[in-house]
Amino acid sequence: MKRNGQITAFYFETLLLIVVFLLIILVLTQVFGLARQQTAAARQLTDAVVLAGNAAEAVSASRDPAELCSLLNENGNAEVLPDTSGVTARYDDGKNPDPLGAFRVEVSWQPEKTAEGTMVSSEIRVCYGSSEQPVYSLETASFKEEGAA
Amino acid sequence: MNRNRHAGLGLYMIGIAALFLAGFFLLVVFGAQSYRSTVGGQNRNMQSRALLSYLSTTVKGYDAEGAVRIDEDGEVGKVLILREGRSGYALRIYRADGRLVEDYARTDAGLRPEDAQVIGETAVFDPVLTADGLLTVSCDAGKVLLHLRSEGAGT
Repeated sequence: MKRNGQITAFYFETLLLIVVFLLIILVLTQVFGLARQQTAAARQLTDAVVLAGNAAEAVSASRDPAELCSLLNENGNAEVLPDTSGVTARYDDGKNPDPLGAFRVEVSWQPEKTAEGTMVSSEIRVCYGSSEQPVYSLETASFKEEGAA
Repeated sequence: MNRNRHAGLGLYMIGIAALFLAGFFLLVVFGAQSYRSTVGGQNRNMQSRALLSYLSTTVKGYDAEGAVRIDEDGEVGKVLILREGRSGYALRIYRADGRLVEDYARTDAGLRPEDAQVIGETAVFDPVLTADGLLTVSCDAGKVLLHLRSEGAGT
């Protein structure tokens, strides 16, 4: 009788051990999954910073949204917004121009006339996929002298 | 009867040990994969930041009228030349042996890749200068656009 009780206790202990072990596997699997997600997010952020920096340089080099669009446009990946308030360009995961790419770079164009020329302020937002939340955004401004090339 | 019970217990123990072992291997394999992916991503990001940021800050630092020029060398291909004012010296950036390198020498001196400073690894180095003062440099890490404020690119 006593031996039977011992065997039952043994089975119960091993069962408990298995449950604890499975729980540990579950927790560690989630930690590993989270690490992968963070790696992907870091990669996305690095690419977004480069794309935003390039767009800022293009803003600095252009006089109007049409010129900005022509500087960013490769393979038809960029277009001027219908109200000419900015430009949208798309890139694939390798940062290559792609009209169907997952990265969407939105560049606003807000000119402000002054006596000496035009001050253009731009907000550059880099979004990924269908998300409206930007992965990275920056604000830049560039002064365009009257009649300057 | 007792013998059968012992055999059952033995099998049960083996089963438990096998389960633990399988779980352990699963964790090790999955963990190693995660680690490899994390380190790979980290290296890629660092390489990307190092090369593109280096190119960007260096060109901006040398940005002056007629200072930025692109030459073609028979051995190493395209060379980005950033002249140091009127000193007659220049920083030359080019690709040699699969690595992006820089050297500082007289503008008329020949390239010496063996003495050059290594910046990073890249299979591609393609600087392009457009008439409107926009310099585009492509390398493995991607493409960087640089607007030359001086708009005084050399020819």
